Amino acid sequence: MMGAPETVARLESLLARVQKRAAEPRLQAAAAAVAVAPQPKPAKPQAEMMRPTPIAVPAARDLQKADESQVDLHAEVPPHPESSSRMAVPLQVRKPPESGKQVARAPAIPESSPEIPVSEAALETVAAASEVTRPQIIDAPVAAFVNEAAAAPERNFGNVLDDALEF
Amino acid sequence: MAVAKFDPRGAVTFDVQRGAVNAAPEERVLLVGGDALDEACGRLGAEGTRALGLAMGRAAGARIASSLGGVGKVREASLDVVVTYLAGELSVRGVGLVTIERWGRAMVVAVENPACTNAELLAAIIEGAFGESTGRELGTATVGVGNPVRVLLASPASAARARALHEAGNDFATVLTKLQEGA
Repeated sequence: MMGAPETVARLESLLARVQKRAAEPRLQAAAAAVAVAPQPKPAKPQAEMMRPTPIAVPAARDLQKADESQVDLHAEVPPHPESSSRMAVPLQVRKPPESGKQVARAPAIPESSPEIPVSEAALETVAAASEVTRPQIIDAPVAAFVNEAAAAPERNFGNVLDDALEF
Repeated sequence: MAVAKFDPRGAVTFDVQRGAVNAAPEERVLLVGGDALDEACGRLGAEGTRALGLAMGRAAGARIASSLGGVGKVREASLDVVVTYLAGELSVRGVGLVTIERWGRAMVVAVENPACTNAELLAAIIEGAFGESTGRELGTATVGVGNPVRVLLASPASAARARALHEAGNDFATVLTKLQEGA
């Protein structure tokens, strides 16, 4: 092979320069730093990655405190679309005597029933509707019945009912 | 004579905390749609519809009697007073707007704007309400349908005759006339 001795000599020179530089302190420190650098963690198994993330829950002793003091937690209930006001609904945390579990009770509702307003107009309507109606436009044979009733003296409901049941 | 006013305030209470509606302290009720009633009556048949209506009417009649001081007081009261309470009680219960027509001695109860279309149910409600509030045995017959529904209040025998005449296609005036004539 042509030029092989020159090539070997050039390679030997290059190798000597590399060895010389490797012996310098700056490069030795860098190599040491690379040696202690953290290695990337291996990928977790699929099942482990799908495990639910634990959510911080109050310690049991904290819940016990809530039980003893009957602390009311107030939850803001968003208004109904047709509602015009917001309502704070108290939530009570209680501990059943049998078990150690905590339960959140349904929103407490005021003891009294909601007042249902009845307008005077509604009362008048009921009163007007409950008046005795005596039809004016009627067939002739029935007209005789009406005249008979109109001529009769005012009597109590029992008498009127007796008449109706004898009809 | 001043007519006693029916006061609907407090007639129906909503106990939201217990999820209950009460028409009286001892009478818990359930809000049922008129369409549902019509459908139920269609499946119940005549006997079942009558039983349902009588039960509904008796509850109203008991309330009327209680409001006026008992069955005896209801009989002693004037027609205007009784009708006021009857119409008020049935109005509060959503049955419809009740008036009374007197055709001679015949008494016809007209129900305007009825909650359901089943006239037999309405007739049974009227029968139950009058029977319970007065302590009398009586009969009813539907003699006019639509709005208003007309229900004749009479003896059981006359009511049966009226029912047959109405089912034969006679209007309520003709039914009353034929009854008067002894048909």
